[in-house]
Amino acid sequence: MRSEKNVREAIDKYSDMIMRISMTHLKNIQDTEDVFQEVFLKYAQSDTTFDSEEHEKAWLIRVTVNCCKDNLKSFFRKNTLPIDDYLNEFPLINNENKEVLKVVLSLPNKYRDVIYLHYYEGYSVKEIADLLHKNVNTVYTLMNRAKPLLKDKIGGEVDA
Amino acid sequence: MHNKIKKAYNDIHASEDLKLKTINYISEKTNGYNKKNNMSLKLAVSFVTFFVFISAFTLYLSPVAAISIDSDASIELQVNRFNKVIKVEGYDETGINIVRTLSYNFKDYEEALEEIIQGDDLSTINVTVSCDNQKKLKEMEECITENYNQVNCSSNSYELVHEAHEYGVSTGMYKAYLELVEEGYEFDVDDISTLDKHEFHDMVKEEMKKNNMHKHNQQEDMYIEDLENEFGQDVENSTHKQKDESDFHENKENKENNGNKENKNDKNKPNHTDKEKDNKNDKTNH
Repeated sequence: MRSEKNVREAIDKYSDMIMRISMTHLKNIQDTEDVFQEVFLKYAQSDTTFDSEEHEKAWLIRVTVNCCKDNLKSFFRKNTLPIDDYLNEFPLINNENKEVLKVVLSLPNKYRDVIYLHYYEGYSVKEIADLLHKNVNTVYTLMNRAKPLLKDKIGGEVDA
Repeated sequence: MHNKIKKAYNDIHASEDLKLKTINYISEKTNGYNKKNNMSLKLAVSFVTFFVFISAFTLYLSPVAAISIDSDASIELQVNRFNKVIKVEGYDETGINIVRTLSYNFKDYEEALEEIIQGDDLSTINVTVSCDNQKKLKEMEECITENYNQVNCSSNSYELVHEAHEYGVSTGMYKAYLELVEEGYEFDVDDISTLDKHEFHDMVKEEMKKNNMHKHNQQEDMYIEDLENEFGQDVENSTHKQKDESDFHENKENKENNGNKENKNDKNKPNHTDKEKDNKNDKTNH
């Protein structure tokens, strides 16, 4: 069990990341907020000792992805909204960015984690494979299939 | 593309309101960030609940009474404190066959009893109720005699059940056997295990039938006696009664007696509920 101070620090540090991963998976703001709270509750109740900040971050990513998967399977899951309506729940996103996120969110679920972790968090394919407990080749395949889909709709260079 | 995706995600933030709500949510769920103490309490409660559940389950599956039904078949029902049948066992070939086809699955003993003795000639059935709880014993005995006023119902303590099972016979059979021994049969209790089981069953059943027949004859005689008292007549019936009595004494001395077959096979006897109760007392004294 962690102290309130630890939890507050983690919330300050990782809340945006948790929110981004949750919103990448789910299409309802209530579900997103539920997952957000659940992840930090698990963090508060966990006795895991982290070797480093990276370890802590990787743990939180893994827990968030699992919570999202559980939520998608849950009987109590709320109705999904159309992507436009869902993105309107985030008032800070401007129209240009909304279009980009719309493309990402319209990808099949299995591609979205990989895209977020690679393009936003900057993880390598091997690191993503370790994080998601997937085979490196599987992650490569997912990346290679998702990139052309994104390029068609977003434009720009395929790899940065 | 890389930059566009990064820029787009940069616009997503968790609101301060959500952060605050999360802190309160965790505080509420962990009892003020003090979950460990709560966990040990929960663990203790879980253990207690588990043991209560196991005890209740064991209690439910423990027999407190046995109902032995002996006629052409020998069957015994084990009943729990909630009057549910938890086990049915056959003690002879016919009994085993009946038990195989019987679905007792925690039925009320009354229901199971009804299924077993359905269609049988009630006067040939001996029901023996065994229970250590006198109140329950009385209650069960009353219930059986009320529903099946022609069966021969007797009762005893549950201890006899254990003794009977040691010799692999039903309580009713064992009780009948003990009565036979009392009446002068020349073998002791240990002989049950050495006797051929079928032979033993046949022998005890035969004697039980004879006793039942005698009981019904007595019942008939008492009925006739009542009539005589009421109407002051029928010398012929009086003679008949004397003959029956002498037949019974001959049975008790274990001598073959075919002289009273006419009376034994007479199945069209009148049904007199009041007299039966007197007969039960007779049997118990026997």
